[in-house]
Amino acid sequence: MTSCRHDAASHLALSDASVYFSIRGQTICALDSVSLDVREGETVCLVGPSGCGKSTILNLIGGFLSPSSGSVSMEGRAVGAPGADRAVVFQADAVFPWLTVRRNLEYGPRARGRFDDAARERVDHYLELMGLRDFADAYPKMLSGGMRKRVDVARAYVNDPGVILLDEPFGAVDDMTKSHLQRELMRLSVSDGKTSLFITHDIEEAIYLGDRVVVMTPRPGRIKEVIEVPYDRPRDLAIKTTEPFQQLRRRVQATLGEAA
Amino acid sequence: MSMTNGATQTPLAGPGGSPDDTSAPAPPDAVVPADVRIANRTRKRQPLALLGLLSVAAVLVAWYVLTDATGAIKPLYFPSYSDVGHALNQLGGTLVDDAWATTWRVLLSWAIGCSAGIAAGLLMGRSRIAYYLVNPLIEALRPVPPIALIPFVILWFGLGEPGRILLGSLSCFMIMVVTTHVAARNVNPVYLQAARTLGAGENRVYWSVVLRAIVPHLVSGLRIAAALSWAVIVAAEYLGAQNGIGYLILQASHTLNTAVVLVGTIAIGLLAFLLEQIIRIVAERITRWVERGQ
Ligand SMILES: Nc1ncnc2c1ncn2[C@@H]1O[C@H](COP(=O)(O)OP(=O)(O)O)[C@@H](O)[C@H]1O
Ligand SMILES: [Mg+2]
Repeated sequence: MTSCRHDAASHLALSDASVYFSIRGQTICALDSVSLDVREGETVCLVGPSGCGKSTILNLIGGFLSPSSGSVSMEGRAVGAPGADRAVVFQADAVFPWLTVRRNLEYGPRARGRFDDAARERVDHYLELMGLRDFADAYPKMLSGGMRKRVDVARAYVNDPGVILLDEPFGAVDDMTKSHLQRELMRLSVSDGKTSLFITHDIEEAIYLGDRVVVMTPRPGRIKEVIEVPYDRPRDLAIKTTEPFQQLRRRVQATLGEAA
Repeated sequence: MSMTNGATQTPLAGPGGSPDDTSAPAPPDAVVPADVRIANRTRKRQPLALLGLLSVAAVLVAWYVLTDATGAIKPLYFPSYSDVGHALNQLGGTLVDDAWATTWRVLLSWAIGCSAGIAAGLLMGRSRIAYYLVNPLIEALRPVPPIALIPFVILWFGLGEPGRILLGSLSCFMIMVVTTHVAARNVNPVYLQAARTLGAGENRVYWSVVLRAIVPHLVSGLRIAAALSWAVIVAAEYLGAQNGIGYLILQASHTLNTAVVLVGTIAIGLLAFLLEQIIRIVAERITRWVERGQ
């Protein structure tokens, strides 16, 4: 199992991270000694039942939460407050409704004081890549849910972060739109090779997008198993219907079942 | 949006006409015929605005019937059309001067009170110390009608202009400080988190997210404040002002000149309506991004 290995290429690492919350005087354990390494350029998908601590892991890496014990580090340094090195695509719609699509994409570079010609080019590039060019000057209210999610993802990529954390980004979109978004994310993973942590409760999505699938147990959240996905990139959406893929899906399902 | 041959489109988007998602990535533009008909919302716009005109007209007709036509109401209790016409003639330029005096006071106190209120509300949102320091005072003063403060204002400022402006400003301030603070506190935290993960520092998060997100709330506060400002200023003009609609009404009521009283009342109504329309139009322009119900 790779979950506790600390190799040189490790980019993002949780080691023995535990998180306790206090709810009305009661202490609950949301994460129990989770260790996880994400290598440079790798996509790790995190699956687990609702409430098992997936978002808590994302909050740790994002810097919104600090662990009760253990450590979280990126490129060997402990992560601090939220910053542009760790982009987050939240499950909730976080596209700024008061900015046009283009302005949303420009937000990161502007916020970092790096809004130069190169940044402008990146914005155009991702507008084009995500099929948003025709809506560049539209306000988000004019877009459908799936379209807004693309804006959200594009905004994260434009900012050229060290890692991208995605928390059930397609949880609220219909299946057909979801497939398209998955395919786009696949293309991005090939063209940009960003280190990503992708949280989902959709097993097929996890296998399709992940280099590894991390299966978590219900509360208290622990890592149950890490499953390697043997496919090269880019992957065609059609692999989902192949037998080896379905075998893998059954395996993850079984692991999840045991975990529950 | 280019929706040409609807038959081949997957109808993912609702009747609202959102761009559909199946056309990814970067769909080749469909050819749009020159005479394409733009899709309309299917729900008919009902001419409900006409109802408003109808009720105004009904009141005017009833007024005419009860006064000029039948004489059912004595002019002392309610002036007739012809009385009002007389009064207008008589007043002439002074009505315009008084209207201008009141408008100027309203605008000034609205501007001062609202900007101070927004600034204080933002400060309370920014600094916990400021919040705990100021909030009890504001909560205690808020339910007090500004008119109730008139005796103190006269005591401190006399019967001059500063007192009136202070009263108007204070009422606007109270509305805006609470509106701003509550709105700033209720900004969806996901926007703040998103801004931080995109590299915004705390100051930038504040002006580029909080300040933008609360604009729709500020706009409704500004409208309420403007309406209240007319009420307070006219009342304040009863006290020692030498001009203004409030002064006009007070003078006329001393001589039981109900026609002039009515003219003053209508003038305030029209002026307030006008200001409200201007604010509404400006507000609509700056909040184009807001999703509105049908
Ligand atoms: N801020 C918080 N305060 C108290 N309990 C929390 C908080 N955040 C999460 N939890 C609890 O921690 C557990 C894990 O939550 P979360 O990471 O959001 O789960 P998931 O994303 O896997 O659905 C849940 O039981 C949740 O109720
Ligand atoms: Mg979650």
